[in-house]
Amino acid sequence: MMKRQRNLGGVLGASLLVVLVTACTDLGAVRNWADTSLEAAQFTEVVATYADTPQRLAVYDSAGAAEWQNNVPIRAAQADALILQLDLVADYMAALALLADDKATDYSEDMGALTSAMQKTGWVGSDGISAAGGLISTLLNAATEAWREDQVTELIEEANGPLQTLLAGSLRDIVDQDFRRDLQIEAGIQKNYFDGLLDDEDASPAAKAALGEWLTVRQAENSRRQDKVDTYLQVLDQIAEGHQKLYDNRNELDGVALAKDLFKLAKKVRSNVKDLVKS
Amino acid sequence: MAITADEARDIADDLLGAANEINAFMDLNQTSREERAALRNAANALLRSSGSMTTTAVGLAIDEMQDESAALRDVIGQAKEKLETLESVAKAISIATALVDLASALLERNPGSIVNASRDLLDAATGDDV
Repeated sequence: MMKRQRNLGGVLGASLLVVLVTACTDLGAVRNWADTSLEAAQFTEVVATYADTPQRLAVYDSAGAAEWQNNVPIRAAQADALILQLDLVADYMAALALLADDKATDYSEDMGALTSAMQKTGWVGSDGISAAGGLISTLLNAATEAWREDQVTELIEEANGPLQTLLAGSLRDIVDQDFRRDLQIEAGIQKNYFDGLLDDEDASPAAKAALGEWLTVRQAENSRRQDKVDTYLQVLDQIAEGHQKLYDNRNELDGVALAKDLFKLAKKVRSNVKDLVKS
Repeated sequence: MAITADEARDIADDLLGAANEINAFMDLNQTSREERAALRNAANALLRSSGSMTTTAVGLAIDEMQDESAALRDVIGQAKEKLETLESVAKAISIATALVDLASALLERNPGSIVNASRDLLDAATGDDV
């Protein structure tokens, strides 16, 4: 009988060890990465710039003002749709960060409340309850931790395809090609407007100097907008790259190499987002 | 015949390119004031058309994104279900705790404790505090 009890204890101990060993994955790197990506996906100024371009250009191209105005409501609706896409990315990153958070599977406090409630009843010995509560809490945390890791892996697996198509494909093409072209069109229209005014033989030298300065101001604004498109593209690329790394390492999410790579990428993303916000 | 986002982009790029050619021509050639005005008008018309074609390209690209959006929305739904599962574990423990408190209060036959424990059980069961 004693031997049987010892065997049972051994089996339970071994089971506990197996659960604890399989459950000790640290998903901190995943959580930090998802948090950073969430912050980056919330930057939508480049979309607003695109939506506002027709209104800005109607001023500089009076002959075509009606055509520019026709584009205003269409682009406003497109901006909403594009922000919805970015919100989807942000929502996904938020869910990933929550699921990768260690607190999601820490039931120590809940179990503490349960054991303390049981102690108060006096039905079972106080020491026994404490020990059992501690053991159950450890087992429960470990089991849910292992389950959580599987779920994070599954989530990354399923999200990577559509996320890459969006970030490295469709959305990237819109920003890289359409937003960039839009700003080149703006530069052309503004130059033609100011060149036309400067071409006026009756304009005074002072007026021409003032117009020249305004043109420089507008060109600088346009150049800053183009810089933001470049930086935003880098952010999209970095988010896509980071998620691809998660996908490639999905069976070893607590790997040191992955954590280092994600840390470096997150640093770049944060620096780019800082540039986008300040300029 | 419907065009794709990429085809619309090619057209928008060509229109922008033609406008740039006109501006380059003005920079390199001696032209009269009237000719320059006419050339600028022509360049602006091309730029305007390129802008409208850009709007078309973005609209088509957004339409083409719908499958990926739906797939990502589905993944987000799954993530939320997984989070709810984790929350339900905490909820089960808190209900068990509240039940033990209520049982203890019933055994003590203490009306005040019974009322409090019942309220705690209700809170735990409705999940407000979890």
